[in-house]
Amino acid sequence: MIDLEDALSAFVERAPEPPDVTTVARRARQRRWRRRVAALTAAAVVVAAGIAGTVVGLGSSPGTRHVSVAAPPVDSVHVTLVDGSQLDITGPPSLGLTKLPISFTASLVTPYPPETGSGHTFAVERDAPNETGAIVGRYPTHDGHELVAYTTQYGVDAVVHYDDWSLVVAWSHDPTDWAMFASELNAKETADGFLVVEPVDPGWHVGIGDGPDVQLGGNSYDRAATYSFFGPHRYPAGCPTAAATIGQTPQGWGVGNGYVQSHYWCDADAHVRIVAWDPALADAAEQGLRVAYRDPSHNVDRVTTLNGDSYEISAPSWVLDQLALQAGLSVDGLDPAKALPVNAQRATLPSAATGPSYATADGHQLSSYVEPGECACAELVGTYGDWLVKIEVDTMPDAQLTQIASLFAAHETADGFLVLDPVAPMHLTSGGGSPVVLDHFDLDTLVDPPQVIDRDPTGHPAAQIEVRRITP
Amino acid sequence: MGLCSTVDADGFEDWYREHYRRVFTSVLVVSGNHAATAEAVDEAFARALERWPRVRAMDSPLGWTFTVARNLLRRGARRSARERSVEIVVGSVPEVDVALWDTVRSLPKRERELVALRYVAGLTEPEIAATLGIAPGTVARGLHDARAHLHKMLAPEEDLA
Repeated sequence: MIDLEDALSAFVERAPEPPDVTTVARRARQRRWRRRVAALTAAAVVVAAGIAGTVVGLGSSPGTRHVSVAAPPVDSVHVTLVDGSQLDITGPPSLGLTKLPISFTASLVTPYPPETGSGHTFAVERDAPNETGAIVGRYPTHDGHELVAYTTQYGVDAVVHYDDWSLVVAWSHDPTDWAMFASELNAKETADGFLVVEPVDPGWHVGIGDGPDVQLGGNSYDRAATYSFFGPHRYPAGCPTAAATIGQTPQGWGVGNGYVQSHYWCDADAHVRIVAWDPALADAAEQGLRVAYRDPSHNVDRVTTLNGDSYEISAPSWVLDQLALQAGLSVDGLDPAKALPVNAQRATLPSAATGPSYATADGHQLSSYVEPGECACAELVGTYGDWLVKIEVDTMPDAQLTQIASLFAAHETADGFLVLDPVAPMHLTSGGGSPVVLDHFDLDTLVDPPQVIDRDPTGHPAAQIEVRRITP
Repeated sequence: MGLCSTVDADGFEDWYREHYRRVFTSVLVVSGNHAATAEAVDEAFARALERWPRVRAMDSPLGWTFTVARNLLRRGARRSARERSVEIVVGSVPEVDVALWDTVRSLPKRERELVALRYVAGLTEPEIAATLGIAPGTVARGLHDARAHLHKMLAPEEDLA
């Protein structure tokens, strides 16, 4: 009897000791400084705003209040976010909403790797500093501007200056990514005066950044802000847990006590998390600060899976931009008897797929291929129209690969999807993973109605996705 | 001055010391690259500290840290693949355990990940499902398959717990 946990614990015991925690703290501080170095000037403004807010609070003693029978005045701030969605923020004038600078954080997400993508966080601010260090590169952006990379005390930052806004990319692990980032950067100022980014190539999209989606006051993550807003792409991540709740808003939403005495809560109607950083304004914000959110676009697509089932999916367009279909195939009598995961995406054949090729039952060819990088998965790959099919085969002798290919067949449906037609003794089986893989989401079709599963533990707007099984 | 002067690091140090080696080994099981794992895991813990109030409140801070490290490795591997093949260095694996190590490493990627999270990181199946964003049933099936494969490769005459 082998106890796996016991057996594998030997590796844990022999793992290196953790580096001193101060090195972790130093690394974390460096990360924060890289993001904040561009925000020092505005931080001073926010300190002033905080002091002003305190003065307002002190001055609002009961004895000096006016009594009025008219509707209380309401300040309203309407913002268009970097991804084109919109947030309306309203509250009493005492919150100072209209007096605070607005900034945004978002990321430009690449479609690689297909399942997860990879994003570069950037900030959009009114008053970004000019390049403070030596300029190390200039890259033309798709929208006709210039991304200027320059050295800072902590690495390399880059900035693009638009008419009323600056887009600041605080550091990249890989300097070669600057050119790619710039070539995808297609920003425009909207009629209402905000900067919206629309990536050029399919699969790219504007995702969540390393900070709040919208911030009033300051332009870095925490103390510099007066109010932070985290949109539905993250909801309900970060909402106060029952244990962390210290009170309620008038709507009954739990309020948590965050660090540096901030208060935070989630607007369950708008799916927006709000943080009020200024202790002097926190109580008033809980009582009177309201938001409304509008998604930039919603698409409704009909998707046919590899086994021929159909679903109607309503989701933000970027979620549907990246679609992969999966299934499992098994062959009776094949040793080892296990499901062979099949993945299909609209893509072209990898140029490195030059291994031996095998004929399929329907006259196509599948080539032996090893996924580059960490996976190093052995696969049979081939194309059917617009679809690239990958069958994970691990390490198998040539005769088995020949057999698998000879039993494989598929066809494109009238609406452009791929359906598998395995030839006995090959048949479709479970074990291939989620039949529909979207950007950040899997679809669990084993339950009815199908369930949307958020792959990213930091949270995404699963609530914005609706799936309906279509009965033939 | 506290751990990180700009964040609330309450409880981070104990959590870090308790879980560092589990996260390291879990990621190493998946990646096989010792140096890259060390870099990715250190960076992941720094990010956890940076966001500690949020990470601490998650259902599985350990799962989040694992995911961050794995994603960092994927990005690194993708860049490496453009330039050269990825160096695979096991390192620090005692000779007596090489067979077990090699066997676990030979599992399909998804099963390897499940084994790492279940038996090295010590996550529960629901926690793994949340970490990997897959259905709990898929986790259970995958672990069953992984155990079956390990059983076949390691101890054909015995059962795996």
